[in-house]
Amino acid sequence: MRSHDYFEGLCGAIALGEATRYERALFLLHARRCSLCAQDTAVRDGELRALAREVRGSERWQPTVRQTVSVRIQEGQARGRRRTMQALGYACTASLLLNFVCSIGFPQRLIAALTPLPQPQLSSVPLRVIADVVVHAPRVPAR
Amino acid sequence: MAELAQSALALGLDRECETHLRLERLVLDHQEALARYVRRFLGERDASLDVVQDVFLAAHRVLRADADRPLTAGWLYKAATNLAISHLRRRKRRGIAVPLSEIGAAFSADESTAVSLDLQRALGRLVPEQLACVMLTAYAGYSSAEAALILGISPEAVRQRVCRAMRTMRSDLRETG
Repeated sequence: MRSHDYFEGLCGAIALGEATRYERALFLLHARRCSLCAQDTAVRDGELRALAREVRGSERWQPTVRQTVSVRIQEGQARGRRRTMQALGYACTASLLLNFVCSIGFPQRLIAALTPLPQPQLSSVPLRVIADVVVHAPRVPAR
Repeated sequence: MAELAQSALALGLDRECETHLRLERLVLDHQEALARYVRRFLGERDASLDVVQDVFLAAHRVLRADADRPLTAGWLYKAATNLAISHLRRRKRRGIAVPLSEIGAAFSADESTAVSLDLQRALGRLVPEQLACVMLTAYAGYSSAEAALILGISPEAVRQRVCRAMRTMRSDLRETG
């Protein structure tokens, strides 16, 4: 059993003039049972292409885009060159700035400032308290 | 483009010169057919010229990247179809509808046949996917297999979409008499 989509495909092929006689007969057989496809039985072989051919034959518009495309290509190339020069300019400026900063020794100072000081370490030797005993002479009252 | 080719040749850029010459040939061979195709697709004249220019600029980019790559009419139609579909979707998202008078103006200056305008009105009702199938097969003259290759879908899907598009167009043409 073929799906409805298959017969829609056949209908399209008939409209484009690509269907064989067998396919056309197959479609007509299906159209007898399908109300949706029944309205397509009047489609003539290659009907759509014939209509398009007729319409194309009546067209007289002769546009030309050659000049505009050329101008747009030139503009695009100029824009590309401008961007390259801009990028080059930024790169040179950045390089000079970096050079200057390095020459005044800023990075070393920065590194020194940012380097953490060594942590104070406690000695594992137990602390000893040494008490000096100062012996004072006995006070003698003044005479 | 001939001027660009000459300047490239003067600078000793042979590849660049070749690219410009190939692009010029592409433009001269296909600009009219492609512009008419996109105008039918969009129903607008100015927008179609923008799209066609974008197609050739894309072709230029491709040729600059690989000068030996063969660019066929199929490639141009594929690019034009994709750009036209994007344009239609953008237009729909922004809620911009092209008034019938404008569609008429886009065509009546050159073609005054009623069939042409009726067809354009009916095409305007189709969803972009169906429109692409109808345009590539019926208008551009590609077979359903070729259109399938261009659109990246199966030939059966192309035929189905053509059938559904025809139903929509038929009901529309019946309404307008």
